[in-house]
Amino acid sequence: MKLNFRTRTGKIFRHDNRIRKKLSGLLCGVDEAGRGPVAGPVVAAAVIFGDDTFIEGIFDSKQVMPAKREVLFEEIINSAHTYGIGIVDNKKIDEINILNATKMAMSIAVSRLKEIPEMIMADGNFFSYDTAKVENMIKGDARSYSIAAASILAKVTRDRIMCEYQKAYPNFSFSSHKGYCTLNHIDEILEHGYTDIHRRSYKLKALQGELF
Amino acid sequence: MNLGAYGENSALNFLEAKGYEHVARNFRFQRAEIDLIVKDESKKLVVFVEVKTRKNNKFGGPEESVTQKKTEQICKSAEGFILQHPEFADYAKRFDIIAIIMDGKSNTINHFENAF
Repeated sequence: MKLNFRTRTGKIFRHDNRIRKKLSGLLCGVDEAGRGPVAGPVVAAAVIFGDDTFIEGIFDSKQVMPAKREVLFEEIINSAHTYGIGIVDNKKIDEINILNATKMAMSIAVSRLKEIPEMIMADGNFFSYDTAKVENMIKGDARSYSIAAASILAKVTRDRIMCEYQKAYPNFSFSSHKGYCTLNHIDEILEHGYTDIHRRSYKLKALQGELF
Repeated sequence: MNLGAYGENSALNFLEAKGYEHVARNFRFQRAEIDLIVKDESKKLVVFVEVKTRKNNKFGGPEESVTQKKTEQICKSAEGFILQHPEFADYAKRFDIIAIIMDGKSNTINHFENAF
């Protein structure tokens, strides 16, 4: 198959290959999903690819259609060298705050890799890891192939978790809003109150003075 | 590196990711060994961890292979550790199992808190 490297996937794929050439060890991408929502866990993923694993379509998970993400999820898992997922629940988020919980989820994801990478590229500007060099990249999920792949693993995993919660909390439409603060979700909270999976530390302006 | 040592490394990375600090590894007291000892200083908590690593799940989960005799040995060894390290005497104690299955492309790491 002839590969078209002029697509957005091709561009970020080349970006990673340029970095990989300078390394002797493995290159890992890390990203998270679920920092914004008021319910559910924060999920992070770490992915290590070999240098010739090109999957057309990989890009920032926010810019890929949900159905396509599901397909890419399977392809990434099948062709990655190794991957890891980290999940931190809403109770822990309330206890240690969302930034620390996100760092924790990312570290757990890295610890589940089968091998320790030489370099980790992480989306954002806050990650650190003891046993590997870390390169933080703002908007990394649209600049690095490995981070973009991690963003898809994290997003799909989190969406699946939220769809499972739909069964446990039929009063809430977690399978559609995924815990994000949509108008519909706010109405549901006003009507039914918080559930066990809501992040109590998130103070919603729309709810001030109405719940307490 | 053998499977056991590889598993202990992974377990330690995992526990450190969860915010625990490393205290000791392969602590031996008389004939009983504890794979990992970690602490959570903010909670004044010391955790004794048994790590079980498997290449697959065919013979039941790794956690099922921790026998009563083994748990008794670990408890005894934990007492020995506290005797040798009196700074932990007033810490809360907990016994955990970390079960690692190295099947496929991602290590499955299950953490059982208060396992015995």
